[in-house]
Amino acid sequence: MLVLSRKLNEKIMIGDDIEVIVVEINKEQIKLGINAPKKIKVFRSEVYDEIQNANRQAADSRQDAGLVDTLNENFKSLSLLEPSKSKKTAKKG
Amino acid sequence: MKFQTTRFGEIKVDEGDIVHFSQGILGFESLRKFVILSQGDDSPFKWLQSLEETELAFIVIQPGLFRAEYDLDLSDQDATDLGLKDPNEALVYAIVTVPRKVEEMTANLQGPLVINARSNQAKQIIVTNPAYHTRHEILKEMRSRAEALEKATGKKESPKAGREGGRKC
Repeated sequence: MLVLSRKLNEKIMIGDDIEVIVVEINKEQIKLGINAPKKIKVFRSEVYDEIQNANRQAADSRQDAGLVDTLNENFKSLSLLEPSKSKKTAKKG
Repeated sequence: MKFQTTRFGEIKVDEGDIVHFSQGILGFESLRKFVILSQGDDSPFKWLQSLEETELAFIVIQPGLFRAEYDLDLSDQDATDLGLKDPNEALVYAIVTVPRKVEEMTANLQGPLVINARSNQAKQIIVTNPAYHTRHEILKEMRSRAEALEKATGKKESPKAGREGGRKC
């Protein structure tokens, strides 16, 4: 990991297109400003970690085929409503 | 082609059914090839089965089935990565987590899986809209939708109302 010290208002360039600025420094928190092209997503790393964790939790090998039947039953008992949007679903195996 | 799976034994998959995640799925970045398996024609919940890890399969559901709106706001980068020529080519699935109380199953709307239905390229994208998170309670959202509908129309919908013919599986 590259560690750089910056003072208030100083900047870091990442590649040619991404700029990080120290916008505010408080006792417990700093504010960073990020200038990046729209195509680059910028988000707090907790989001990334959250999704990774959610994926890992979801990939529970104890879940078996029977579980989906149960889920379907639960779902259908509530499906009194609007039409499901009949999007083409992916082909099945 | 034949593949082994722990839940379904040996499955036969056509090349054209294989879904390719060029960047893998978060937490499972090395796994790129998957297939969507449906337990029956009318099954809202499906499996995203790995063709490289026999044990790995995610339960998935299309958000459109339990929510009226899901504003993904695909970024240019996402659209490029997926080779999307038209937003209608995009098929969206959410990964489902099932807790001990099955009826509290949740869908991850912050990291949906988007598949290019034409090319079968796929990606797990990160949605920046703060309205979406990783654990949306599916049944709860369906109930809210029913209530909202009831309020709007002033009457309960009957099960047959407006069904546009079954979804093709």
